[in-house]
Amino acid sequence: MQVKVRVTGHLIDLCPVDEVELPEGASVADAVAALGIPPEQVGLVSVDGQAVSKARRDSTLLADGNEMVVMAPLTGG
Amino acid sequence: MSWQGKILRVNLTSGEVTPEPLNMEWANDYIGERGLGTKYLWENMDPKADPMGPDNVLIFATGPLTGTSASTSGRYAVITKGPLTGAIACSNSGGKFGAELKYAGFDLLLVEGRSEKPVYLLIEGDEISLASADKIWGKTVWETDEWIKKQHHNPMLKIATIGIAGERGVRYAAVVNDLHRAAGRSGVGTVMGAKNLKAIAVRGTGGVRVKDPQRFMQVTDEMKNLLAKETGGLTKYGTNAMMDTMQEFGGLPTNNFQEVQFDGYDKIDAKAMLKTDDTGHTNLLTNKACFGCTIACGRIAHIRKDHFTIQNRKEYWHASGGLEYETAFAFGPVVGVDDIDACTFAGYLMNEHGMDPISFGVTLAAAMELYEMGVITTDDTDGVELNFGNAEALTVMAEKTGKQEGFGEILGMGSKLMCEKYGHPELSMTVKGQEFAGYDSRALQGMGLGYATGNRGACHLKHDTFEVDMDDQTGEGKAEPCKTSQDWTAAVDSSGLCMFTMGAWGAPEFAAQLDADSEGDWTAERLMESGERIWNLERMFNLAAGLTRADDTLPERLLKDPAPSGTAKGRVNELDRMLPEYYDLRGWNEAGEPTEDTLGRLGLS
Repeated sequence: MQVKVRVTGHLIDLCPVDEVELPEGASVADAVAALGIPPEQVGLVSVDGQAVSKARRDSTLLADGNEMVVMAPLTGG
Repeated sequence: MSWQGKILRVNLTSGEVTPEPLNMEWANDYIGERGLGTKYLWENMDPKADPMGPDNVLIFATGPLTGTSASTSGRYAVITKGPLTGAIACSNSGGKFGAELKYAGFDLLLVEGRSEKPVYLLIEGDEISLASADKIWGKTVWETDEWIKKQHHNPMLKIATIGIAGERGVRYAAVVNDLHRAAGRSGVGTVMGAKNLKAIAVRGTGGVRVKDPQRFMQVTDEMKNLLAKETGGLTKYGTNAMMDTMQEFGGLPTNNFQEVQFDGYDKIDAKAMLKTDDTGHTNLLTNKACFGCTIACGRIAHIRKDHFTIQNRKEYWHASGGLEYETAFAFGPVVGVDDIDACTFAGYLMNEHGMDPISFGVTLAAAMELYEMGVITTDDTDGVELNFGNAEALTVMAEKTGKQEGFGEILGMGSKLMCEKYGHPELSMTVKGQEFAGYDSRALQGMGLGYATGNRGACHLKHDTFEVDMDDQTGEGKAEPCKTSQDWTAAVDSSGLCMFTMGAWGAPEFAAQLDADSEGDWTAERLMESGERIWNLERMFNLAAGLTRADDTLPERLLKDPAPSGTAKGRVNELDRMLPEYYDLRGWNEAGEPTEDTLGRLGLS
């Protein structure tokens, strides 16, 4: 299945793609791993606008056509 | 030891400048910079004093690590009673001024009284004097810096100064050092102006001594390597890398916090700053480091010469301080503007005239909402159409405010007083009178608690709940990280190092550097306890000044109007749920006052 991807902040340097091919039944954690982004560098993932907490990354399954945003951690400014 | 062991008391009323020994007992309890400055403030003034009067005290404080070879060691803080809030004000800056003050032999400057005529303080080798500022009163920050260096034939002087805004009473005037670094928040420059103190110029050649040089070099080298692994994003993109994250998250305050996402964000974010346009122009020229810093998050930018802001003003055809996240927020989403050159120019004007961009932008945003409601009209605004999104209105009003001309005098009052003047206090996006930074607390719940309990009013830099806020958009479990990070940030702010290292260094890493640097057995536990002591002393100052639990709150917009979009769509800030838990964790009673047990435990009885 194809999942659309956007990343924010400095993650663009780690993941300059806008979609990812994943096997059926893949989770959010699987998608982050497939994109090559270290989990500790992820502040939050949203899927179709809904936040997915760290604790739910393994159990939240993706579907074809989902739009996933991988957000960099915030640090203050 | 890296305290110099000496302070300078400057009495502007009598004109006396008097070196005094540093109170080492206080240094051991309050570390330096923010903490030590707070202790000196507490011991040297009545918290009920008029912030704009001669009885207010203005302190410039360095930390024990300021001026050392530790990374990010260029920090100093300005501590006083703030004119926006009537609460304690503590504003932190980088650049080179702090290290230079240390090399001149002083840990801290304590300025009291009020000069009859404008003066500047000169510390040049052994020469310490108050000189007439007649020829620079009315001059900008940039003109003042140049004049003082020429006057003393010394380009090595490091200068902290106010601009015209500070002289003329803009309530959020900044102290700007090294041309474009600023102790920007809480109106510390306003207090300096009220004292008729235009600038402080310092040249120091003395250096610092650390306790254990070999261990210090070893540990600070290790820390620099650790920092390099964790902060590459800040180096390349600066803090404005957060803009697109806040947009996706739905915490980007837009149009005076009516919205939480902004369509034009990608025209002013970090990637836009790096983009080359069809004329070959790129906004960002390079990055820049403060003294001793190995991150270099500062931005140096320039504006298209054919842009409406500068096309006929060659004096601005130069590179200067560029957009960081807070300036991009304050000149962008919160006023609905997506013109990167206009935003950059507004930033120039803040540095040139000496103003806090956050307070200016959020005040302008409230004025724009008043204008769109019809409460004020072009008759009030000098003919300027003050609609959200009007880039020309942004830059015209920035200049009018800096020079205190026309409607700029109203904007210079700050959002709270301005909104009260027009009968709509609910439009003021402030806590205790200080404007919010660029994080909507309906999406970031712990941030809301930190804003509400902030000792200097709404502030994003005195706690760090970003990680827990991103992971969960409810008020559950936010009180403890808010309290703990407030204490920890107070310790970091007091060390002389920059809080942007906190992503790479925890309490053990800071303690290892401080222990190699300074006398005493500095441990992570001792640093945390010192931070808690500092937070509570700031609270005691505010309570003595007359603030109460009622001041620990948020505007109704954030408590009652649900976030209209984003990952926190439908949520309001859950302050009622978080605040009692927070007071309990702090060891405060229901009125928000530290109990006797708490004061005793921290040595504050």
